[in-house]
Amino acid sequence: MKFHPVVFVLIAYGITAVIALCVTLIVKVIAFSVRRKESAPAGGAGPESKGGAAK
Amino acid sequence: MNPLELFQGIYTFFQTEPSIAFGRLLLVALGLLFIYLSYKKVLEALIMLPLGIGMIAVNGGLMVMEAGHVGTLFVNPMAGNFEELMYYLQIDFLQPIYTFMFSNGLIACLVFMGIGAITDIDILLARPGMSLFLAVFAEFGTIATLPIAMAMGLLPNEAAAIALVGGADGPMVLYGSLMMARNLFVPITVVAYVYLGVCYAGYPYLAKIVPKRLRAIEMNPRAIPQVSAGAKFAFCIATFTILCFLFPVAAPLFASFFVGLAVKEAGITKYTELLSGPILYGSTFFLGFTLGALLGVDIILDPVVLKLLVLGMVALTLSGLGGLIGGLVFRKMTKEPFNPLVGLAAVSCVPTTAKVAQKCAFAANKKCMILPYAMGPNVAGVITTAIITGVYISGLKFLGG
Repeated sequence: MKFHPVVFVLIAYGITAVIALCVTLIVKVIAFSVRRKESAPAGGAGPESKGGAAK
Repeated sequence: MNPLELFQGIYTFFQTEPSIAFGRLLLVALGLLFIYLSYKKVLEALIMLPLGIGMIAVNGGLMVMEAGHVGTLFVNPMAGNFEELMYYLQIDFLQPIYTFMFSNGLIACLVFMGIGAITDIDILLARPGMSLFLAVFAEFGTIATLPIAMAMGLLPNEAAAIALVGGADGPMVLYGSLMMARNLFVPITVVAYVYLGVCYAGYPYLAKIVPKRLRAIEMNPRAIPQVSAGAKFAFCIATFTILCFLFPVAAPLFASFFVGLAVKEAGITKYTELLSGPILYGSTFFLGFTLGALLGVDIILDPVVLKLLVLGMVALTLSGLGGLIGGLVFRKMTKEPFNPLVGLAAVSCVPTTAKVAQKCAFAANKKCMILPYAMGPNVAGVITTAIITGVYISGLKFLGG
């Protein structure tokens, strides 16, 4: 299969845009999971410290 | 015996055709110009100074060799079979560097490792949407130049290689041209490096298409959220893995760039120092010097070089325009104050175009500080150019290349 150069570059541009979108999503997912991890210990610390105080 | 034979560099002027003698003089003059402009900091001295010296040496130091033919003691890129290669490896002092570092793209990968180790990805991760949106726009030159080059009579592989100049990454152009158009990799890479050097002086004129009131828009650097080291490290590894699966042909480039980034983000100081110091500057020096020594008179006598000069300029201009248009579009889309000049930084050429964007913004408004924002699209530009390089190398067969 052989493409016209204009069609080829449009496909190449489309692929680049899609992968750039995927990279953006990767960053968002990483940022989300890091935020969740950071907030989890902070959330977990409350009951533990309360428990400690009760003892 | 002709007394001039004592001074072989001059003697060989009379032993070759007038066009070759004139070409030699022209290249020596060009080498002197590069050295002068590097000294004056108009061109990137790190690469253009050794390149200029290499050009003078190889075009001045022509001598009559054993079999009566004219040559130099620098490098012979045309050495074909094993015996010939072994001969030149023992005679030409830059031949080992060319054979073991250029012809396999190693030097481009070493430069990329160093670039990775000095690249700051904080803004890219803090503002991924903006950074990659602008970077895609700023690839316009890389995309549009390919059909233009083919319309000008270049073969698909040559057209794809020169189009990569629009991505404004020297090592990427070197790697891409070695993979796709080995016969033209010297002029294409030299064109790329010369134009990238000229970007700093030329892009401010291009930036004037944006109205001054928009160029003067202030952005608050404190509004950029902090990114943890863990997130940056995870991003490096995840993106690198996916890109390697997608484009194995460009995997050496991805591996080089992301290993530099990963080492930096993992906090391995010794490796970071190694990659960002001796490896980056050592390979950049030999890249410039060997490129200069490869720029013999036979290169400029090739009529295709004139087309490459035009196409290189077209590619970088269109990429700059694309970045600025992307900046104007993004400004319409976002609610925050946004300076469209940030789009210019998406052309990549780390960190030159980011500095140009800041320079233009500062000229319009002395309180304007957009450099922290500009670094995001600047780094994103490296990633999008690497993707397009992978697409072009992998997809050449669909163009009949």
